[in-house]
Amino acid sequence: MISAAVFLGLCAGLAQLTPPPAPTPRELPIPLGHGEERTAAEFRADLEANQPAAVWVGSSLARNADPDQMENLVGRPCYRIRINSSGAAIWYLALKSVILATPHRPALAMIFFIDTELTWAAYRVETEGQRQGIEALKRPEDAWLLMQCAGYGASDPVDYVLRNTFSAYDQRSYLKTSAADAVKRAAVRPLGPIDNTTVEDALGRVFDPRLMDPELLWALQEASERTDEGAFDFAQQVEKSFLPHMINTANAAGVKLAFVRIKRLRDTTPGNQSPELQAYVASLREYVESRGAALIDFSEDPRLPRDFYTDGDHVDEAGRTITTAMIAEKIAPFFPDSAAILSRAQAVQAPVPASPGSGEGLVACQGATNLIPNGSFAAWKPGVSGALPESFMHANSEALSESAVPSRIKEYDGPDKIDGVIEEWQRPYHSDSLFRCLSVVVPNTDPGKTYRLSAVADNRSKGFVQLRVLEMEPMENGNWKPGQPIGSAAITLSRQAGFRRYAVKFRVQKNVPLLVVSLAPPEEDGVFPIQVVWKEWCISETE
Amino acid sequence: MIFTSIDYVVLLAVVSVVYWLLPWKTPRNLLILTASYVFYGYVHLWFLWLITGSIAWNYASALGISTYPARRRLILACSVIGNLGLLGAFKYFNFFVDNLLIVLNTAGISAHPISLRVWLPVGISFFTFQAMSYTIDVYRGRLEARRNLLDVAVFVSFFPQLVAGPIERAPNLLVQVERARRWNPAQFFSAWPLLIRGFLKKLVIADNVAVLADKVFLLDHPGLTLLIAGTVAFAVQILTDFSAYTDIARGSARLLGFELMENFEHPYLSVSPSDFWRRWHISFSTWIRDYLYIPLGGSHVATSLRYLAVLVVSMGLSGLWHGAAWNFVLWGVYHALLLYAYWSFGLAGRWQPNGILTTGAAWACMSLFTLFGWFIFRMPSLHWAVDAIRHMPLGLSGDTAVASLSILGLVATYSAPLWVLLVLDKWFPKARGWHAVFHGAALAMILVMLRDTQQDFIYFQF
Repeated sequence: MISAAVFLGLCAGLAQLTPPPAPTPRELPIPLGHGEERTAAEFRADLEANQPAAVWVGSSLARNADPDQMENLVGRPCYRIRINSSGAAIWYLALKSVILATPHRPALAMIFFIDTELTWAAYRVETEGQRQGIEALKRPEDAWLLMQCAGYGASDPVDYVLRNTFSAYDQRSYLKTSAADAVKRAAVRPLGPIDNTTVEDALGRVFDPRLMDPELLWALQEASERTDEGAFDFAQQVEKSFLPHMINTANAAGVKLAFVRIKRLRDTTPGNQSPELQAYVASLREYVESRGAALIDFSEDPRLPRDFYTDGDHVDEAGRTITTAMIAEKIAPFFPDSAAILSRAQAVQAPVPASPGSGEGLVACQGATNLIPNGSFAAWKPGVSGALPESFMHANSEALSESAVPSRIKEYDGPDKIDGVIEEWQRPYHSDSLFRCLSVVVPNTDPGKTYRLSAVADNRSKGFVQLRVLEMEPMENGNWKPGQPIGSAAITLSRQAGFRRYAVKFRVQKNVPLLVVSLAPPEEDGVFPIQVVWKEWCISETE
Repeated sequence: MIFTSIDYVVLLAVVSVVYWLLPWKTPRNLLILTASYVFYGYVHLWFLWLITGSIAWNYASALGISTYPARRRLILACSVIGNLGLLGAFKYFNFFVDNLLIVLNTAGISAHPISLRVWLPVGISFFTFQAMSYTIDVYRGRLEARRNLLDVAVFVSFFPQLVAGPIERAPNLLVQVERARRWNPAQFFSAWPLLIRGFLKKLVIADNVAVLADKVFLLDHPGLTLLIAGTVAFAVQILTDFSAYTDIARGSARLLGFELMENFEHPYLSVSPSDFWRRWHISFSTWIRDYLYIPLGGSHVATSLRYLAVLVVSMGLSGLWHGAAWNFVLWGVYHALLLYAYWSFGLAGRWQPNGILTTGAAWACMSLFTLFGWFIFRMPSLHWAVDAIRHMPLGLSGDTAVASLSILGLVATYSAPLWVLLVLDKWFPKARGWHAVFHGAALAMILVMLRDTQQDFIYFQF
């Protein structure tokens, strides 16, 4: 009785912790394609407006190819439908209810997948987000097929009872994340007042897959995937999958369908695919090609090496560039001007791989609004404490907190003759303060738009240095003061790693000026003085 | 079938109800045997051939020893070879072949690699050792050979402890199988706290902490602080994962009127290696003691060197039992050296420190030794460990410090229920109200904290 009372009491108490509002059932839950949070109807409207010649749908892996670059290579409008954590059921529904449900028919529809996902019908139909995706896309006539292939609709009775009896169970993802965030924040307190975004960024850099042993990483990933003997039995799996229905639907609509098999980190080591998987792919190819569809498989193409991967499957900006070009090469024959497409695609050079820790990969500053004249500090350094161009405001005289001690900036005059400035933080007076000096204010930003902040710098110390972006807050006297940092806008400089280009994307929510600031949180004495040589700060608007 | 699946819950519920509705012992045993075969053959039917072979082999061996006393030694040898052959074929074949090739190649002899793609049957080490103990006990005259095949089959394949122990002995479990069992409400209801604890340890602690440990040991060159955090995470993971299985096994067995042995007794409170092995995986350590260490002369050695040799062989083989890799062997040998070092200083056996300070120091030392042992156990390979240590940054600041502190904070939070359990069990064992509060809170935690994707129990692979 006591146990039951405690259990029910705790469940009721936890249920009071309200999570953020969930998306409405008619709204696809995930950022998609060019925009974000688009509904199926908005998608159809986009397709109708853009009239794309090629459309692809997939999970987060759809982002391994870039629609703008594809458009340039193919010479026609292209469109991406990305539904994170989606599987074959959602791809089939997106093909049927979005791509083929508009009056405009693309010449080519592509479905991105990995390994055996196409014939794994019950994959990714369980979570709340996946169910919402299915509900947003399905039509009444799809119910039977979804039930037959994926068991969708015949929900797990235990899960159903728990979900409808205990709100805490339904909100467990939110509760767990909130608790874990609070624990991490408390745990890193000895290092200074570090927010969750910074902690997550640090964890992301430490556990960057490129710093992991590829064999071990792959073994772990493989262990969490479907490896039962039946998974590779193509003949058995295809009968109860959405694959035949995808092909039939596309054929009936007169649209060429291509299945794009994404190259995985595993595949960067030759001979890593099991014989069972190879036999499965051979059967898949025979099946789809005999029915008028195509299989695009670049898993053995050496142009996509390990350096481009951010985890076992996803690639960075550089990897996206080369993946898009490889796909363009493969789809060139589906268009009349195939020779031109092929030529453009083959001209794409593999970019230099991004260094681990830079987050977004190598990002050029072309077209960007330079925070510093001419994209570098060269023009500014003669008057380091002097004026900046009109659109910027140099804010280095304002400390973030009263106890903060600003850094010093001077022209870099090291033996390597680098054209930049050096910023130096001395030992802090108070252990709980943050220090910044080099900062600029960007006055005109548009809410809802995404910006990219990039920098070229060399952190020559053992200290922890970040670039952060803060939204300014209006004051009653008409002035502005630094407000809250934008969570996703943080760049941490790798220590003693030489000059690197760092970049991060962030979204602006309000029409307020932004303060870009360099920070060095307090650390143990041994790391001071902290020195960073800056060559460039840029901010640019992205798609 | 794993304990944390809905399939197992259904199986256990159905068996528990039908079992007590059956009036006699024999149909009940038949039901347990059927349930055990469903449990073990759930993923691969061919696993059933293995366990059937093991039952038949040991049943026949024990009967042979009893019927032909003059040839008992020969029959025992055949039985042991058969059992170890089963283990060798399914668990160690590729390991031995790979290492043989390395030796041959080093000696300049060219040899072609042979590799078998064998699916390791879960729990093969557990039921093989349990079955072997029956035959050896019959050989030693401690037990009569049983003629009832059903009883022996239930003893070897008893589903609650089939794939991850505790490794039961015939004088405990087989005797219970043979006995008529009566419905005992006190025993039946005492199963629930064990089940709740098991699910709490597995779903809330082990599965969540495993993710943290796995990440650290994936890195090419983790810093020292990160390695410490990862090893602490693994220490919590392996204890909670394994003891969770034991708790659920014991709870499940109680629902059917059986009492299985305790397998863990707060092992991280140990003050010496001997103490550790009296508290950690008790059913296995006593098996090694009774069937390997004592027969090799470990309890009455003449020389120090011989004692060391006995320890290295016993513990090295017990390390190998955990898996076909050198780091497991090294882990066993490391513990042998620890046992020997403590023995050399007169700190072996039942030695206990006197006074709070001495106890604290002994506990701190042993905790460090245990942690280093888990590092050896968990390291992906010897090559990885050497490389990681050679290029190891300290990681006292910046990202690595943030990551290390985050991991330690999460591990401490996830393992908080263990501390509460320790206090309740050790100092308030009869405070039923507080125990009830704990189990109610544990249920709520299970509901909220369970991961969407659950992991297999670590010890399945052994």
